[in-house]
Amino acid sequence: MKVRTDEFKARSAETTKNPRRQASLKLVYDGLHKGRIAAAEDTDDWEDQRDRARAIKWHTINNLDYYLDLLDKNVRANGGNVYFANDDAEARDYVLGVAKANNVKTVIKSKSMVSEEIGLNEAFEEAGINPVETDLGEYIIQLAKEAPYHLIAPAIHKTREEISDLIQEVAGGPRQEDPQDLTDTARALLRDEFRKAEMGVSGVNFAVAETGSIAIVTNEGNGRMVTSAPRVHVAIVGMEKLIPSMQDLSTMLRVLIRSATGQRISSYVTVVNGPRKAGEEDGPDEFHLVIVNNGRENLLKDAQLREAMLCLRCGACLNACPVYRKAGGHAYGWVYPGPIGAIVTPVMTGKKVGRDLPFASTLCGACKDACPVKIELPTLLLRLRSDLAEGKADPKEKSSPLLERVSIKAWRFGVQSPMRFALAGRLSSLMMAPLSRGGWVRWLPPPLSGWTKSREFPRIAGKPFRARFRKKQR
Amino acid sequence: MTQSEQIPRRVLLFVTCTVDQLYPQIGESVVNVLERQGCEVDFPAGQTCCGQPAFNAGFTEDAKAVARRFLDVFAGEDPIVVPSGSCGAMVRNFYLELFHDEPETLAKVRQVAGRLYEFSEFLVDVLHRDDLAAKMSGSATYHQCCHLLRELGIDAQPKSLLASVEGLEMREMEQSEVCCGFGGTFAVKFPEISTAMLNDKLDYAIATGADTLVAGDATCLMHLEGGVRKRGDTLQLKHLAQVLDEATSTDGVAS
Amino acid sequence: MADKQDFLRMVRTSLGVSERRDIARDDATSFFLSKDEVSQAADDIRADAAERRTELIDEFIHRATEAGWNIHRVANFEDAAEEVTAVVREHGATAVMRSDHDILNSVPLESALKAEGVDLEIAVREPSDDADEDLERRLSLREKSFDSEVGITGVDFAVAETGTVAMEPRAGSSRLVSLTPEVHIGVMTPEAIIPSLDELFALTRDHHLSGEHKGMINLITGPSRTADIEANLIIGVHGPREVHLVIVG
Ligand code: SF4
Repeated sequence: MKVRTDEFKARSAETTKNPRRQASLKLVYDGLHKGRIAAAEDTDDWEDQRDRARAIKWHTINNLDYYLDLLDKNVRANGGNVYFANDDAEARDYVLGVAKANNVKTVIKSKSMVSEEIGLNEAFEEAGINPVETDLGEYIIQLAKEAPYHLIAPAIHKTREEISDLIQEVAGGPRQEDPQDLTDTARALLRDEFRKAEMGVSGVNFAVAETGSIAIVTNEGNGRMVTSAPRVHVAIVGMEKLIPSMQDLSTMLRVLIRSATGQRISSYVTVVNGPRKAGEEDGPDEFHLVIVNNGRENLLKDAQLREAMLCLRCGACLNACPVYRKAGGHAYGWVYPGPIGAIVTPVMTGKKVGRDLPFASTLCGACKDACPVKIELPTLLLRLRSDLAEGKADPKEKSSPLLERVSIKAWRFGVQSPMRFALAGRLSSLMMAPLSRGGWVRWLPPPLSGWTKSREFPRIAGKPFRARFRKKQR
Repeated sequence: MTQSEQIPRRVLLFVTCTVDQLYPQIGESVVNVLERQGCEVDFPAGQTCCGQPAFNAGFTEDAKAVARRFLDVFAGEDPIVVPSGSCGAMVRNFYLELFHDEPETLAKVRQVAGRLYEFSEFLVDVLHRDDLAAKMSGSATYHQCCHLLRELGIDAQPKSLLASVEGLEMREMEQSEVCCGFGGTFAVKFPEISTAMLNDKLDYAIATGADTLVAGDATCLMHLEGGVRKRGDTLQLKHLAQVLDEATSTDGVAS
Repeated sequence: MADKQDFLRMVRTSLGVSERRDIARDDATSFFLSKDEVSQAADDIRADAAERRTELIDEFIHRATEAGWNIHRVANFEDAAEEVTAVVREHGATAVMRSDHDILNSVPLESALKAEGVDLEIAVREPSDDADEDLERRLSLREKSFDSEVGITGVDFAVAETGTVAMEPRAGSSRLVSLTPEVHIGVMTPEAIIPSLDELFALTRDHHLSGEHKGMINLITGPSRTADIEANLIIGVHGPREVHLVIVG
């Protein structure tokens, strides 16, 4: 997918002015965020589960080569194929190759963020193959030709009126606005695709190294369709999504699902152990697992940023994030929005071009509290800020504006001595005097005008606390 | 109170640069409240800033230089009280991050951080005063400042102090735990997002019908008050220390 | 094309580790439990579940109801057939399919449904050694599954923690019968109930390590649902809208 991280400021500002999007984003807090809190409260050993999930993931990531090797062996032992793709083009080409070899005309897809990363739908279309997204939310955004707005609720920004227009365009017939009717219509449309599709493409929530299995979590049942109805199943997985043992699934599913939707468990969890076994009544004859790097090694090779590889893509940090809930999902300019997106996107696709993302946070810490695997999201954001401000990881990445660097140096000089600090305060107070009324400043020049457009700024006190305290002591 | 022997008398005030320069009246209220509880407040005159502005902007080297200075200024044994969750979090949590590869400085950090208490935390957990026999009329709603709540885990303390003020009716606002949109330079870099967050916060506070919005951090108050003034709202903004000062002052008004 | 060895080398370089090294045991994951330990644990789980049966039944019914299952507790297989027939009757369904799960062979469904004028289709095909012919037969079974209005299956495990039923599709146990019809009815005995997902995956892992490897494990918890339109909860998207569990005994 095209990287548009450099448009964050403009696109987020636009979203704050769109009342329809703001109403949708409020649903994220009221529904998903509160749902997660309730689910956590309803789980006795919630903190233990999180700690355990984190430890499982850390162990796996720290030994990722070992578990990738094991996964590969076991998928093959189950009769499946494995392909290691270094970048998006390799992944696309492989999947297209499988489709062509099987004479595929229609592909049914269940939600896969990695397939968004690699632009798989566009590639299918160019090859004359019809890709059909079957998760209702993904189906809606496919009709709208948009990117997902959220990790687990891709069409959360669409109002029923907009969805109604999109569905009517393909289904014809009378206009429907009731969510139930719209769902029924989509169900009927997609049923035909399920019947005829020759190939299914799915994402993966967890890939189990020891048994060569993949687990897919869905509520609609499309994940089951995609893995059971067509002759060929291709699963695409980011290389971080491994866990060692099938027994680890219980912990991982618990924390993932409760954090994602607030359910104790989703309607369906589908554990695929390769292709249909001999004798089985149904299921695919061919199974392919495509393991994708596509820039993840940039996270892996940095001892601190590696922590972002623990991510389960549950979306809880988005729901918790007040910035995401104002900026909206598209502003983040690639596949992964919200706090985790502000970390992985710049690292995977280019820090400098995505330089606004790590700064687009108040560091309020709500994401960290919500994250099922306790990723220190604010710390990682701060780390990326220092890469960008002072070229911490690589001098070439340094991209702080000169004015900012000068201001910081001036500030540092000022606060290194109480006398200079007090003097600077006195001077600022004097400078602000003509601009202020009643102790408040109504206008400041750019770049500070960003503040005064919607807020007044307190005038620096003529008599700071230190002076008052001295006087009182005497 | 039987614990009086263990209760420290002398405290060092880390007033924060914001309070010093922008909200000196909050600092005075902190002193008044602490003195009324029998403390002797000292203000280390060398103090300026904890380094958070540079740290948050990604300038860790500059932040380190300022932080080192802070550690020297606040060396000693007496407890340190700070009327800010954010500056408290900087010292207690983020200094650990900042100096993670400097064991010697880390030892200093632990020593200083171990003595540093946020204002409400000090009153309730150290002085064991969660009822100051305070009295005040009116109604208030409490905004849970981010770093106070999530970095330091301080929430019950300010709430119990407010609840103990006789005559003050507390009203809970929707999304009271959600950030007000300040975030330091964030407010200037992303003014539209910041303002949208601020407006939500003020709308929720005003919807409670309370006359005062209370918070535990001067920086958040500055943001909120700046918004209230621009919008022309009548909502009053107060730091917890100001409420407690006013409500325990013998002549009924904050000095 | 990325070579596997190159890919693994990239990972090792990123991690700064060498190929030959010991993977330190970490008890956060169950990976390091030996096959015998897993088998032993599986036996213990079965014994424990048997002992706590009554408690587990209550918890399972509570959670399953919460998840949207319609629960029918019956005393015997004849009554189970009655319950199933009542659901079929209520829907006026004529296309009804069942899997060939062991438990269903004890339930006199054929006769009960026949009395309603419904021919019960069994979701099995005659396997053929000819690959094309076998595919043909499977596709025809798939068509029938899509055309069915009610699907009846057995249940391999039932999880009290979540109100989940789990099935391992195999010869006789189709993947689609519990998915494609609008109504799914699962038939189970209390012996299927285990405490939590921990036990479920310990048991399925034991199966796997013991060489009884199945193509899939399906966990089903209530009806198909979505919240993709303005966060409204809608029941019945691609899977069943209405789900029943008949607990016999
Ligand atoms: S960072 Fe944590 S909360 Fe955010 S999507 Fe990943 S696992 Fe979920």
